[in-house]
Amino acid sequence: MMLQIKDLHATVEGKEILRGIDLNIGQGEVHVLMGPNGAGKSTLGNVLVGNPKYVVTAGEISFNGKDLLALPAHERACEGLFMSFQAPVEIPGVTMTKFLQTAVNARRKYQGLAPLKGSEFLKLRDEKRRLLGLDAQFMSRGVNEGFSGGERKRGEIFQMAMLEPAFAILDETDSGLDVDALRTVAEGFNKLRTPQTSALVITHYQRMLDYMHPDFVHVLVGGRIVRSGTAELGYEIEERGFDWIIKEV
Amino acid sequence: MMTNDMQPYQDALAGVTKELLAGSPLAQYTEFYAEHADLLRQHSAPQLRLQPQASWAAYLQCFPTAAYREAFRYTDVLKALAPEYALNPTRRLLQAEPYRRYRCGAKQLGADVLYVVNDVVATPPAPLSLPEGAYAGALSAWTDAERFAQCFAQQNASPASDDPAWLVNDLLAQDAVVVYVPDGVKLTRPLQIVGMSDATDPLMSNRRLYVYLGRKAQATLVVCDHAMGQTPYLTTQTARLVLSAGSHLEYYSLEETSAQTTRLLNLHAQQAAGSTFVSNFVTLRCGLSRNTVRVVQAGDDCLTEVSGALIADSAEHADTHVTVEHGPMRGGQSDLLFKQAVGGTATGAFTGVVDVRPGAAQVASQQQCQNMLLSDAAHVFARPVLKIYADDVKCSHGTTTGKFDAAALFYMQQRGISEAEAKLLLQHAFIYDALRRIRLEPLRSRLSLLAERRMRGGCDTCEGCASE
Repeated sequence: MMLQIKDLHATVEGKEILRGIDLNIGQGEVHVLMGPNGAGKSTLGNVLVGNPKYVVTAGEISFNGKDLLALPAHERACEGLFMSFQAPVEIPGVTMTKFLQTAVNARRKYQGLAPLKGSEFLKLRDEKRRLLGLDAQFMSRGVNEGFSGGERKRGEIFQMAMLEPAFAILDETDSGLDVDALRTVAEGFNKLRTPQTSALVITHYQRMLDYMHPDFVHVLVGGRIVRSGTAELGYEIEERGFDWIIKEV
Repeated sequence: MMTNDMQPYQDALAGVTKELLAGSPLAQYTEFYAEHADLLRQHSAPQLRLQPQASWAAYLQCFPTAAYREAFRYTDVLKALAPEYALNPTRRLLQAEPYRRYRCGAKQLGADVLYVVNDVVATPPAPLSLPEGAYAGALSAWTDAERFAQCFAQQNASPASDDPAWLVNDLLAQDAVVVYVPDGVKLTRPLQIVGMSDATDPLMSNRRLYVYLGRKAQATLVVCDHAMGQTPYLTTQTARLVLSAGSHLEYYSLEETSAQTTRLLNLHAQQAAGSTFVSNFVTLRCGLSRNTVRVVQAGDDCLTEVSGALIADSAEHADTHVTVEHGPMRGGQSDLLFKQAVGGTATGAFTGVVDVRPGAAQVASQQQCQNMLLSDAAHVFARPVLKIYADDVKCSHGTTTGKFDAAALFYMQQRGISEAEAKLLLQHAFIYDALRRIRLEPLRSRLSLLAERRMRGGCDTCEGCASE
């Protein structure tokens, strides 16, 4: 089992959002997390990657056998966790190239590998850029600086391509995207998938199910996972909404 | 060279009494001057000795003026001038063969290099590659005395500021670097003027720079200041820049001295119609540094750009005061951008004064001072001052002071970058915003690299001017 979450409780600004999450994700599995607004979906993603705004008050998280909660954010990333943010922040003045070169070499150092030489890095960068159809001009701009919503999401997938994580969290990747942009992002993600890559996809919408072909769908309500199933569950929610689940809970 | 003209010397100190100087740190300078006037004169560029000098009596009678208090609220220049330093009135070259001793590694600049060791302009081993009619070198070696007087008559006629350091430099400077570019001539290579403070005992140097650009002339100057070793140094520097109509001057200043260095710079630039003055003042390392920059737009359609960056992380004190005066002309533009990244117990201060005089029209001016506080004990001061005495004006100003963007920090950590490294990336990006205004690309890249090294705690000396 790659990721094991046991009875996870977490607060943000003093308010408890996660109220006992139990979730297991195996290697190569894609899980979708759905739920009404405020349920705690993004909170779970942020807790996994170690966002300091979120405080874990109880529970355990194991990632590939390691205690994830004992690791600072950058080490969790080096262990293989990656988050595609819902609203990626702009970092003016730090070019995408410089940013990713630093990140790639930080991971390599963590893994005991020598840093990539400049030319090697640029070759890797251009290879991944062409794979995802990203324009070269993005590489010399500040990270996410002046990017449209769709460009930012594509930029997140590009970063994922460069960093090759073992576990990706896609936090509402579909929000703010039109149909074509979403398809482009989802296709980019699917190009990067391997039998060893796991993912947790946080979404409101059934269309992500069409692109991602998940192994499991979970419904989060009030900070707890209240129902789990296959992709069929996701389609049922699309048709009936969340009310029937909330009533049952 | 000798001169028999005693008047300029007597004029400077005429009327100065013990009462006026009582308790003033400036007394040591007048006493030295009075005692060694002949020696100073004997070893001075004669052109300097023929220039009228500021009246000390007039200055001291009014001192401290309200203008002085306003301009020097963050830096006690009198206190900085108080300690006793040795002087070098016979102007011996204290370090032999400077062009071998100091090797500028910034060869990618492709610049002609002049070394000023303490206050002595060293003779280059080979002639500089200057276009015909242009001159760059020691004033004492420039034979065209009449042209010097013509070019800088207005500059030398009156003291440019309330700064006592200007007064001391006026009194004690014995030579200067002159850069003269005739009408229509372009210096095809940048000119790098490297000031080295290098002595075994605490030493004061009084340097001066004169730059004259004729009509439609163009030049790029890179002026570096370095200090060797841990010896205490005090340098007063004045720079007088004259830009004729349609000329274009890029002036890039780098200070990379030491914690024991006190550097007091006064730069005065006069712009004629249609001229462009682009400048950037970068401080990577210093002790106490005061930059007073005054630019006067005295013609229509002038463009003035003054930018700068400060990196300080121990006990530095750096204070930059910029004044841009838009005279009663049309179409003047000015743009000021200053960035200060201050940590440790350091202090960074920036004052940007935009003075739009009555009669000015179609003026567009903007200024930004952005500051990053890297420790709880650091201080930054940012003071935009707009003096607007005309109606047809667009002026804007902005100041921000903050720490690191937490969201950006976390984003980078989520990609595997440690918090410390993420902060360095952000800090470099912050400072680079000012460096990107340097139009000379090799210099911009070089300073970007030096800034990064500086932030990582390296760069005790600019590798480029490492001693043998």
